[in-house]
Parts: sequence; structure tokens; C-alpha cells
Amino acid sequence: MKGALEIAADVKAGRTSAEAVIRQTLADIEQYNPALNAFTLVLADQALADARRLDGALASGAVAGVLAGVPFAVKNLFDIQGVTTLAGSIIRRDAPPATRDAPLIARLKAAGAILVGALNMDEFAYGFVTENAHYGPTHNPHDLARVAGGSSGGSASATAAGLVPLALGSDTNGSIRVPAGLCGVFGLKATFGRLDREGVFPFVDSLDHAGPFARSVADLVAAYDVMADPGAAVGPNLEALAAGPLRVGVLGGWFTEGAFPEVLESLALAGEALGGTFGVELPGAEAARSAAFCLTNYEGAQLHAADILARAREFDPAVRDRLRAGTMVPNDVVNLARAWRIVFRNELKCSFAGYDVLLAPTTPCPAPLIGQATMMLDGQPVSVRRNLGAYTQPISFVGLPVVAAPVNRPGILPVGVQIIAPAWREDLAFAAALRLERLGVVAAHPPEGFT
Amino acid sequence: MKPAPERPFWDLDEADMSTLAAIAGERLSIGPDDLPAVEENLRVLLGHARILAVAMAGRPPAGPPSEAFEP
Repeated sequence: MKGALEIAADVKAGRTSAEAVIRQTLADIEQYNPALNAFTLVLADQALADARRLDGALASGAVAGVLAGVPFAVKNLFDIQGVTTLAGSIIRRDAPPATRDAPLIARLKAAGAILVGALNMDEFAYGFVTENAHYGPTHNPHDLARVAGGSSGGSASATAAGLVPLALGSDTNGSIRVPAGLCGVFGLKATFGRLDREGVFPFVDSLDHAGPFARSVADLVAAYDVMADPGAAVGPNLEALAAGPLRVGVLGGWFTEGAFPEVLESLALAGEALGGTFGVELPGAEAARSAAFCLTNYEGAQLHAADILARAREFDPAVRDRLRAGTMVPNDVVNLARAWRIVFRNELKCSFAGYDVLLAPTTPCPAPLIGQATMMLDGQPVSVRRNLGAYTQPISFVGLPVVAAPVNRPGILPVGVQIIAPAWREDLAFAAALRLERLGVVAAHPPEGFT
Repeated sequence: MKPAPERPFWDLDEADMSTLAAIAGERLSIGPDDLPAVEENLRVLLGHARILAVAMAGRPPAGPPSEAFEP
């Protein structure tokens, strides 16, 4: 289970060929995907052709890209040239194929990466579990009876199982961070607006982000640096930043209420390793979560209004019922949510006056069982689907960059921490993640029984 | 069918959600079997709207609401 940069180094040095890498990847997908249901499409012929083309170019003296020969896959809401963009639905099955790759895919390909397929997700990205009524549930490689998280569940599952070293997903309310945490891999939700969303099927325009999954900080940084505009690349300065002083706040209050003991222990491990100040309060986080919830319901319903009226039976019932309710969200609630976004953003800016990064748990609990409707938080039964994102929603609501990092605790189901940085300072979140990785506090453990 | 309540959404009662669900049912041609799920989701939305309204209470208006957002 090699990482992206290790594979690229091998290809560049001639120790292996891109074709050999892709053949092994396709064999792994064929062997392991039936148990995971992470892939909804495998582009075998195209990937092999791309690999041969790359090998030929390298043999002719072409300069190898940063990700030369690295296989990757994307959540099936990314446009892939020649492929219909499903966005987890059957409503879009008859839509015309995309005429070109989404720019983020194009940038990875330009760096030498090779697209091998598309990945399962919650329908229209509306969910935290990837129990898709049409395409089946994606399984967590650490325990196949459990959810992978969502909505980018296929991306997290495929990365964690070692089927690909890199994957792309999207995050509106936590859809990269939640599955990254539950599957034990790294995920990045960059600053709102940082990574291009063109060619990514929308969910909530005012909240949508796209981003990568990987099994190491270095791979995550490499993918980010390739996909971000050149001026935003963090690679060159990361070592110095990770070695320097970092002021770390560990969030309490809303971000620890109801959390399972292993989640709190993991947060403590990360916070102590970074010399963090514990119990930092973020006033208004609960209201931010509620505002994100209302805005999501409203904008999602607006986007799908025509289909909700004409093709309701073709929706995943769990999505359909929420969108139907969303049609009744009045404008005054939407205005209130947008107003709170400004208030909360300003409060967070004040918090960052004292800290470079803030830590919070990624989810309140490890991965629930597939089909599990409720879980106990603070002694109360609550909906799994509505509450897995309780700690992620307030942060994406104000668009801050977050690295979701898996805490290194072998023998228990994965749980993660969010490393939250001020807007446009992905470098600080990466630096804290790199330091934690070098201290052995965060790591992506390979699940048993896979590659 | 009852008319839509005229109070702000966050001031509505849980019982008002069945009225709103019925209105949604008529607008969207939702069958009676599906209405309880819509009503349940409206109750969840009501809970969130109440939290939001309490948080914003007493704060000065934030200016004209805008879809644009700068982190």
C-alpha cells in the first residue's frame, strides 16, 4: 500500500512503470471493491491507455509530473469527460456525458496522475453515511458492518483500503471530514473558494467545497499544491512552519458535548502533543450548525425543485423527504442564517487572534453500523444521519480550511481530529498535521484484509 | 386546509408543522403516506430555526442579506 509520492518516485526513477502501477490498482479494485462498494465506475481501458501514454512520454525524455503514475479516483459528482455525472442519483442517469474533465481532475492529470474510476456517495451529496438507496451502502474497511461516513464515503473507503492513494470528494457540511475521520484517513477541506468547483455537481452553492483524501500529510499537501492556484501552494514553506512555534487552541463547549470517550481521548492526545490550550470556547457554534442546517435544506430544495415536483419517486427517500421539507423554509429563516454567518465568521476571527490553529473532534463517535438509525449522545437517542456532522458543520459554514487527521490508536475504530486554520491559511493546518504525524499522534492505519 | 401561519417560522408551534406539511403536500402532490416524514423534517427545521433566532435576538441587523460570502 504505497503512498502517492512513493509511487511517483518509483515511476520517475524507472523502478516501475505507470502501466504496472495501474494494472495492480485495477486488480486490487477487482478483488476488494465487491466487499466495499466504493467504486461505481472503473475506467480500466482509459486508465491503462493513459498509463501507457505516460510511460511513452517518460521514455522519450518528458519531464515527469509531481504525481507521475499515481492512480486516483473521484466522487461521482465530478465531471469526467465522456461519462455521465451521476451525483449519486438515478435521476441523472440519462443526462448527457460530461464534455470535459472537471478542472481539479485536469490538474491532477496534468501532474501525471491517472484517473481510475468514480466513487459512491450519498445521493446529491445530502448525507453523512453513504447508504445510497440506488447504488447500495459503501462499507468501512475497518469494519465492513459499519458505514464509511458521507457523503464522500466511496472516496474515504477506497483510500483507506489502499485501492487508491488519492481520491477527491466534496464537503458542504462535513462530507470530506466525516468519512475521513470514520475511515481513518486524511482529508482536506480548503478555504471556501480556494479550490475550483467547476465541473463538480452542486449541492449548496454557498457552502460547497471540493478537496482531496490521502493516507499521509505529504500526499495530501502534494494533491493540494497541484490543484490550488500556484500562489497558494504550501509545499516549499511547510517544513519551516511545522518546525516553528504553533499556538494551538483545543475547542470545548459545543465541540465536546455528547462526544464518545474515545473521541475525547483522541482529541486530548492531539491537543497535548501540540501543547494546546484546552477548553477554548467558540460562542455561537450551535447556532452556526443550525444556520448551516437551514441553509442547506433551503438551497438544496431550490436546486432540485423541479425534480422534487416531477420525479419525486426517483429520489432516495431520505433525501426526498428533507428536500420536500426544505421547500417550506421561508426567506426570513434564510436571511437569519446568512446574517449569523457574518456574526460567527467575525467571532472566529477574534478567536484566531490568540491561536494559529484550533482543534476539534471530527465526529462525536466512531463509525455507526450500516442501517443504524439512532445513536446515544449525552444519554439521548438522536438521529445518526443528522448528527454525524455536528462538529463539522459550524466550521464549513464559515468556510475555514480544515485538515481532518486520523488519530493513531490501533485496535479501536478510527476517529479523527479537525485541525482548523484561519481563512486562506491552509499552510498552518498542514503544518500542525505534519507535526502530529511526525510525533506519531496521527496516522492512517491500514485496515486488515486489504491491499 | 388551514392557511399557513403568519407568525415568523421560529415562533410557530410543533402543531403548525402538520399544517405546513399539508401545504407542502398539496403544492408538491405528496401522498398521505409520505406526509409524516415531511412533517418530521419540518419539526427538525423548526428546532434549528429556534436556536438561530435565539442567537440572533437583540443583535443589530446585519445589513441586507447577501448570498455572497467571503470567509
